[in-house]
Amino acid sequence: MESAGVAAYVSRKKVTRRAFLKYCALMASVLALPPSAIPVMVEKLQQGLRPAVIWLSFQECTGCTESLIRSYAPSIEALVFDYLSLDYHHTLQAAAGEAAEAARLETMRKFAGQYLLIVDGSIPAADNGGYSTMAGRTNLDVLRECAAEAAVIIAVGSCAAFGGLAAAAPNPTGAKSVEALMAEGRIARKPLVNLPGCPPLPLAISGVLAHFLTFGRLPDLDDLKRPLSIYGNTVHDRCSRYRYYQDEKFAEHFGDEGYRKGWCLYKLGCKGPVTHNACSIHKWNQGTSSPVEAGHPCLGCSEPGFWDKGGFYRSLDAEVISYSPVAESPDEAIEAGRQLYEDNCIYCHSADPTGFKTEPGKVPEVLRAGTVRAHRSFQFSDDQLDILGKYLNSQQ
Amino acid sequence: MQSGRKHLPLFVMSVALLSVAAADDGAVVTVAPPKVEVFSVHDSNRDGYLDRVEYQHFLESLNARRNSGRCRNNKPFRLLGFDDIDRDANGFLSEDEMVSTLNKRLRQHRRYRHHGGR
Repeated sequence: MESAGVAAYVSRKKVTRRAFLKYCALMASVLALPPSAIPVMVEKLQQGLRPAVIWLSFQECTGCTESLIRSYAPSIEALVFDYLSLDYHHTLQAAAGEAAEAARLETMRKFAGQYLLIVDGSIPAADNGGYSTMAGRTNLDVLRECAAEAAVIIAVGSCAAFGGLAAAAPNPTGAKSVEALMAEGRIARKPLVNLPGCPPLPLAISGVLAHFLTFGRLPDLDDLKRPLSIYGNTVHDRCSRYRYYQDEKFAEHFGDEGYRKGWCLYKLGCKGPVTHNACSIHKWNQGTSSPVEAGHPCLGCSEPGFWDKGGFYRSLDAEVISYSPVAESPDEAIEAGRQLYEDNCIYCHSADPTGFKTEPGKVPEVLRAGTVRAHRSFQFSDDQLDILGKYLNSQQ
Repeated sequence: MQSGRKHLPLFVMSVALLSVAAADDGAVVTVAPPKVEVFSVHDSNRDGYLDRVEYQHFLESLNARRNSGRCRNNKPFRLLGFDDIDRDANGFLSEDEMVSTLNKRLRQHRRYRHHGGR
């Protein structure tokens, strides 16, 4: 780490204070931090030392690096790199061959237990990892070595986070994510954050780095270790076409009248409703647009296994009609059932479901059978009937 | 349903006249009342429709329930307005209108479509 600190570095780069403050405000916003965090971020970034970073690229396409270096406020966003001492990066480093490997080993020795390890690309684990090597060593071996003394690990991109394209069936290289290797005990367990996306939003990468530099820890994460501030909502939740979804105005085919009018792309296979990412808010290409805004359905690239989830152009109704959230706790299911009941059932039934004549556990079965005249026309999904049954059972 | 609702009084009047005519002949005639499908427990006059008064009473009962402390949670209901359901704007909510409106809600609330709950 450079002892001169970020302030001197920023000054040397001739970045104005106004631009610097704008950058901090943007990062605080991206991370969903309160306004009071902005001066803290300013102070910490100015005071902080530049932590060393080792960036390992494995089975990947370099799209994640492209995403970061093309961040949409280049003069400011580039500061993230400046805040860090990027000591090893295949694409960006000047050194090559033995000199590059020597730089990596030197960084690991000098900053043991302090450096950030960024990984993009999945790691081939089949056949002792022999499908991909660098400097004569397997990716798995290099990762094991670097992870052992890392302070935190940031898995950038869907490949590092979930396996991505390389792990798509039949996954000939046995590609695995960083988290999977940790779970199997093949690399050291370290604090980990996943930033999935193909590629991830530039702001997701720089935001997490800014958070770490400011607070010395990773931001709050969801159950897939994704930052809640970026991945807390779905693409659908903030979609610019959302009003058309509400009005049930859907493009039926590419190029039809609805498509030309900018209607919802749900029926063209949009995975926005099940895809957690902030594309609709932060967008791409200097904040110009997002895939959905540009006229293409969301592919769901920031969700696990998106390559193997059926056709990109098949609607969710055809793909996941029986969907229910993964690893949902009983309480969450009951709460979802309560919401469903109160949103739909109380118009005809009592708000107090304890007086039901039908045994609560049998309600889903009765509704599925279609024996209740007044309910034959209702279009419940399997998931809705399940959570409804759980809620009614809980009320006994 | 709108036309059914409009013609209901005429139908009842016809039945009544028929009953009177039959009684004049000295025969005992029993005419079953028109069968009405009551779809909501809030339909207090059991005519098969919810009118504005019944709907308002339903909303008030929900508020009273929330305020009574009998509920396990105090989250506000996300209620539909009367006019949101009354698509033909005749002042009565029919079963068809209710099913149509709630089906739209069910589609939008499918969790794979709408995980964020917005």
